[in-house]
Amino acid sequence: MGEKVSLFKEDGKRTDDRTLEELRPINIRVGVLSNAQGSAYIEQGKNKILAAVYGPREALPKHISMPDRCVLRCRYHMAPFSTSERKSPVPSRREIELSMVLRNALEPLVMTSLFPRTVIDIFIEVLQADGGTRCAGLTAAVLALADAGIPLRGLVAACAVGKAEGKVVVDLNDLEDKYGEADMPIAYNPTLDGITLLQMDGIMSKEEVEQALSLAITATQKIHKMQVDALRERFSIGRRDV
Amino acid sequence: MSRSNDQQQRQRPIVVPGEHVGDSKFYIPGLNILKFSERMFSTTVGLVRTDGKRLDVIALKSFYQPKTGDLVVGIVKEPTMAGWTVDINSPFLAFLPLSEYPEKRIRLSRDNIGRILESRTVLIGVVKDASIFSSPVLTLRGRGLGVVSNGSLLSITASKVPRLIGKKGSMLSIIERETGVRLTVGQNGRVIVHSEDVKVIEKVREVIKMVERESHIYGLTERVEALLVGRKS
Repeated sequence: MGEKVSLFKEDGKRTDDRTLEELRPINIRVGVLSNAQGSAYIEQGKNKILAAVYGPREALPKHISMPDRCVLRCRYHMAPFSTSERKSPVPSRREIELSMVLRNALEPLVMTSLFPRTVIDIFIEVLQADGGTRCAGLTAAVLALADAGIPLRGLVAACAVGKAEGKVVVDLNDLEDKYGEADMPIAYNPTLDGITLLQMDGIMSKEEVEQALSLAITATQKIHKMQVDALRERFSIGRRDV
Repeated sequence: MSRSNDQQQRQRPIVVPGEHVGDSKFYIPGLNILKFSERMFSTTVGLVRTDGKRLDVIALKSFYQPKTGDLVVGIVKEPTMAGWTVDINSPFLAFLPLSEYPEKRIRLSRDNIGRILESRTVLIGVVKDASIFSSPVLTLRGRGLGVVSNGSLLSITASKVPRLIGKKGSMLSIIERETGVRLTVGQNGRVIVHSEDVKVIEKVREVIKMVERESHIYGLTERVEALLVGRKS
């Protein structure tokens, strides 16, 4: 990492022509897979992610089932062709950890006590990665859960904020993620005004964290609106099935 | 105005999880409602329905939650030591004990229960006992219950079953009258068309899919009638 990478252009804009607080273009579709109980697809900048939900269904192996609630199983996976260099399809340490992180972020949302002794499987498949895949994956996974008809305590939207060349930026791309000073993914539930995911990698001052948090909440509210629109479109009558 | 646009205008607004649907000062929370301090939110994608002071969200897609006394259409999954596990289109597998199988006395030492009811056998049963602590128990003892030997199996979302049956069975009787076939509608969203006529089955399938797709748009009964009568002529 000896080379110096510039994260801002001369006009003060970011490498992809965004302002500091601007999100990447987002395109969301719900109900894209006919074989899954619920599914969603998201494009956030160059990220392309598919999420599918199966269940609630009989928990197998039986010993994983819980007598008072359903178990959430989450699998975050990056396709071998999702990165510029081939990624091994074997789940890496990072993917296993992210699967757990995403499951923990989704668990407070799902009304698990309605389906005791069952399991819900959530698959998040990254088809193309460009930074912020865990956030985009989470945004899609929530929609897949709603599409499956699973009762939820609201919709969670996720977005990363961070620091690049001393400035707090929203929705980091791959370059800012790699060469920036800090990265802070956040998932926010506007219904209950609660955060279900907050991680941080890097160094930020207390003021910067507060500013980042406030920007993240504004950004997730925008994403939440897109989620709502995508869900309504899915269930509106004029829509054709994929 | 095109038919599709007209339909969109007349459909009731769809609410999504987390959407504010009312306040507890005015309503009592019913189905698919999450109460958080004074405010009430939907927990699913659905349509708001008020019945007096009670506020419900009718899910557009839901799972069948077994209740005692429900008529269900099940598919035998596999035999066990004391009966059969049955898929009832629900997150929970049902159990059909040997004692609730009506036709003959079964002796485990002599009979192979896997042959009495083979896997994938379709049956009409009633939920004898449903609790959140154990698997729902089915019974085949009763009038009109038992193994289905012929017919076609269709399915819809469980939350649309009341709409398919209609008020006092009105929708069901329209479909039966116009197509001339008998239908068995399970509360779990499975429908048996008691016919082997492919054309009739296809017609019923079309109607059922229409009910499932357009149940939240006003004037469904008229549209179903129009579809059936149009097809008939």
